Amino acid sequence: MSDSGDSGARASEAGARDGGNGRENASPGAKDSGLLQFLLNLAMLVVFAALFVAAGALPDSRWEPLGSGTFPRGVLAFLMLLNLISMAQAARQALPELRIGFSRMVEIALTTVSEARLVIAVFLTFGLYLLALGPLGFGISTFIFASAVQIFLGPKTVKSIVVALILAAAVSFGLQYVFASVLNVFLPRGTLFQV
Amino acid sequence: MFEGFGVGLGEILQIGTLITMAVGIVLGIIAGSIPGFTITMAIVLTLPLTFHMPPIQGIATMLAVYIGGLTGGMISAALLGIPGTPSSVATTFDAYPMSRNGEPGRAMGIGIFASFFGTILSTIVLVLAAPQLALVAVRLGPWEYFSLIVFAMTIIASLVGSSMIRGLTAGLIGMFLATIGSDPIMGVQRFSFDLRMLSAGLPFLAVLIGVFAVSQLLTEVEDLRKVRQGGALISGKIVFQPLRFMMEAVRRPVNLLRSSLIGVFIGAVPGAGGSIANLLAYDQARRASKTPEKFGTGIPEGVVASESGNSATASGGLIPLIALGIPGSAVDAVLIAALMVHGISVGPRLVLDNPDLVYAMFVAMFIGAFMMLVIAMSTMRYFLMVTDIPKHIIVPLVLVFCVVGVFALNNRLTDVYLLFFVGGLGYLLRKMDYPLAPLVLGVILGPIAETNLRRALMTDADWTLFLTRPISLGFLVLAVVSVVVFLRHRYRYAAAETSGS
Repeated sequence: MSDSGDSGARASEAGARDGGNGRENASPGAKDSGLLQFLLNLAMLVVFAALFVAAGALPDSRWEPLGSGTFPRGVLAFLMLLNLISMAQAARQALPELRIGFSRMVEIALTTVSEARLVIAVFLTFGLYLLALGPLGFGISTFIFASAVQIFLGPKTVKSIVVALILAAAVSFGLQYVFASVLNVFLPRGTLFQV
Repeated sequence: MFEGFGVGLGEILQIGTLITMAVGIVLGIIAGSIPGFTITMAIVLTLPLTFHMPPIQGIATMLAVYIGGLTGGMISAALLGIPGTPSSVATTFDAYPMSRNGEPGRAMGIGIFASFFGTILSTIVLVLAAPQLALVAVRLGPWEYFSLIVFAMTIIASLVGSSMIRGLTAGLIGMFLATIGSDPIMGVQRFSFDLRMLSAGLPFLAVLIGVFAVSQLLTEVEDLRKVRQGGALISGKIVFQPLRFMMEAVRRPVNLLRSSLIGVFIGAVPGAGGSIANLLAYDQARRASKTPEKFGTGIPEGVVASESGNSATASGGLIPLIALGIPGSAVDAVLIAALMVHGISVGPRLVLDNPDLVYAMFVAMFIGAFMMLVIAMSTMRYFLMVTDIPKHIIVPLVLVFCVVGVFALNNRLTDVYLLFFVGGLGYLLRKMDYPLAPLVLGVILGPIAETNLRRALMTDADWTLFLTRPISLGFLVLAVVSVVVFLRHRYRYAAAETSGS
């Protein structure tokens, strides 16, 4: 039932040793760091506790023994209990990690963020695409998103850029046409273009 | 009975019906294989197309989409590690590692044959034992349903492997997410904080696609070098040997039969469907195995259990539908709507008033299963082409399909905004090593658990009824046994590791 022993400390030490430069051995990741697990569980505990308090304000019913807040409160109480157990487990791994010093911790955190920069970039682009769906409509926003991400992630050759543009056109304007004409489902048309 | 089958056969073996069924199978496979397209959505989108057809042709076509969809869900589960539908969550556990180990053809071949045998076996059960099984399923009251959910939650603990705490936490987070929006009984707004986006609750599809698809796709772009190289998601030579795959499935008759029967039973329980059956069948196969530690590494037993289990729910769900007019799943609810559109009243008199329709449905299930086998095996090569598509193409295009799938269900832009946040949450939980399947299971089970708990106590405030009603007690005992067995297994594993080191 216990989690991965003292792997967190080992992983953090490995990350500290290579100073965040060696991509092969670094990337201890959240799951390997006891300290990070402890802090994340603490954050979750605070959120669950706040929701538990909020659920207390939900009304009771005169028709049933359980009100609308009882079930979610039960779930949140159980979650808080599990969080406390997780924190107790993580604390054993977190203590050795504290010895590596604050500056090292910051360095490891920055390395982790740096390694995830591609994920962050794609995720944020995805968010911008979703925001653009309303004003620009499905066709234009999807074409821009699909072609931009393909070109950004893929090899920078003429062939792959042409393929990216063709596929982007197919999944944007092509899909919009198929959904509208065959299935009678109208994907967002864009508020900017509505008269 | 045989006379009824003759009539049903005559109704289905019409050229027009066979053609629309074949098209339905293909559409079902395509829809099921695209993450973001659930089978329910495919059936809903098919419904308007069947309005102009005769009732039997329309229902047979929709059943074909259903059968195709159950198989299609396996394709993205095996090739991308993303369950195309909730019914194929457990398929990712072994089919995906098998594909990653260089055997994508084998993973899909075994899955297709397991689906085929699951459908055939369950349809035989449907025909022979429908009334008896329906009687058992219908006797479940709110006490039994709640205890069934408690049992299902304990299964989560044994599914997640390394940490019961994390598995349960993920499951409970899913249950909590399902409480956002309107209270199922009083209609009070909960945890929506006056945000329009949250007032209708978290749509299950947005949670499913966000947690599985978006987080998985983000994981795929972690390694900069592999993405830039344009490497395919799955490497290795594709081997295509239908006979060998069939034998690999057939050589596991106990697993096939057990998983199919689990699928039939779970399918017959209203509210529980393929999404639970595949996990339960997988779990039972692992428990029965002499080498349970190999599950999750890409072994045929896992693929056979999951795929035969989920495919068997299609026929299982038809049992309460035909016998009592109660839908076994969301797809069955759409089938009931289709029958009502054609002026056919669904209920206990369906068999008496429309025997031709009922037997035609039985025959359609058999013929649909054979059609699926032929179509899936002959077109598998084309689906395997997915393996050659590099990540820099797959990631943005599948993200677009995810958006389309979430938007098309309710035509709400707020749902796609939720997809973004749920996707981010799924990625963070994945990085923290939390299993994601329990979270999705929690979202399904949460509302069922809450509704039945509150109904039970509204009917009778006596809590001891959960322990005095035999079926309810049986489920609770199974839940305790499940936890004890898991803890014992973990203790032994930890002791063996300690002595080994």
